[in-house]
Amino acid sequence: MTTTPSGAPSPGPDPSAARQAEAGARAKLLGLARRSIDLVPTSWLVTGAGAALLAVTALFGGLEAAAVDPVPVVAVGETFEGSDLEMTVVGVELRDERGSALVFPDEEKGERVLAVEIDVVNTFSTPRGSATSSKNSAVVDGIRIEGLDDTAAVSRADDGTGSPMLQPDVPVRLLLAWVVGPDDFHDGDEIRLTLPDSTHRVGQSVVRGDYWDDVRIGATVTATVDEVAGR
Amino acid sequence: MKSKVLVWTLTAVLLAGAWGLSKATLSDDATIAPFRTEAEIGEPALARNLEVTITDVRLARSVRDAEGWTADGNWLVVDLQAASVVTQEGSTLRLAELVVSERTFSATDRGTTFAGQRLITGVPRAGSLTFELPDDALDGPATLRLGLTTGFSGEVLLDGVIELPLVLDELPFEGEAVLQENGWAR
Repeated sequence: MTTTPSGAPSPGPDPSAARQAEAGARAKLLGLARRSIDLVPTSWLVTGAGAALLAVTALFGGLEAAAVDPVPVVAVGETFEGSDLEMTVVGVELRDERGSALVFPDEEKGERVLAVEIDVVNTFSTPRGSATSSKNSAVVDGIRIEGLDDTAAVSRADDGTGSPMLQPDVPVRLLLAWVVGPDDFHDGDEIRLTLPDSTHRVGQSVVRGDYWDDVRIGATVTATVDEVAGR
Repeated sequence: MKSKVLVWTLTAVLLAGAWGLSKATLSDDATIAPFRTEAEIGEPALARNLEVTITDVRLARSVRDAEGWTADGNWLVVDLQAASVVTQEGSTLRLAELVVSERTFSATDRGTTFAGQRLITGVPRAGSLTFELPDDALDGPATLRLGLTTGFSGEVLLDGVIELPLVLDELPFEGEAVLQENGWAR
């Protein structure tokens, strides 16, 4: 293609001659490199590559377990964003009566209601339920209190609508309520809540539409139980 | 040289054709998409098993239902009459949503409204639907969509959907809107 025919007349300082000289030098260098590589046995090369690989692995911590990001801790009144929801725990109350919560304590057994007040905003573009039937919920009923196995009953704090739909960007105050025994919790107790986080996915072939998968604990909140007399 | 030009031109044409085809192909959902019927306020609109007459659409600062429930906020209130046409099976008005640009809102589940109303064949029921909206969704175009959902999917597939185009900032604004009691249309 660009080879100049050898032996062509080259008057004066011909650029093609300079190129030829350069190509010759490169060929010489390449030959030298090839000969020196031939001097090294193949097994050495393989061992060397393996050693380099091991060294790099060791540099990144070897077989030691990778550090896991610590679960963030948020305070009462602080907003956590997870599962495309903004969740702000407002307070935890221990009540004798259910109020607008959707649980029904047995008064004769002295049962009481532990209610978590929480502000929630759905930041996704379509309405979403605040509770699911699944044990491992990505939404509001995925909020748990450490030590209680049950999921909470979710209702609106204002009019008591049960498991309300969360409309996009419309803030709502919800109540999460558990029935607890008379001596399970006391005024001033510290409890730990876990807030859910998950990954949004869109169904491809079998599942249709949006769903939230890979549910995990997104944050923990430490709150103080506030005993409310009467109400 | 000539054959090279020909080959490259042909390649370009085929690539452009393939790109165009990929753009012209309908989405996977197109085979089960709903059939749209555009409605007008005051006029009956028909979509297979659903006949709806939207009588009034307005915005309000607060709503009150017939049972005394009230709530403040930004509300869009829709008065309507609806009946099923062919069968009462699956004739529950489950799809009632308002699409405002990128966001979709469903009719509120609070209070007592027409949301989830059982429709009767040939005898219209009347009531009000209301939508709770955030502050920044009160202007611009919006679409009200009504339909009978298919199975448990929560959406309408291969069936009719009645759509009412709206311009939110042209709607009348009320202080308090009183919702119609669910009942027979008069």
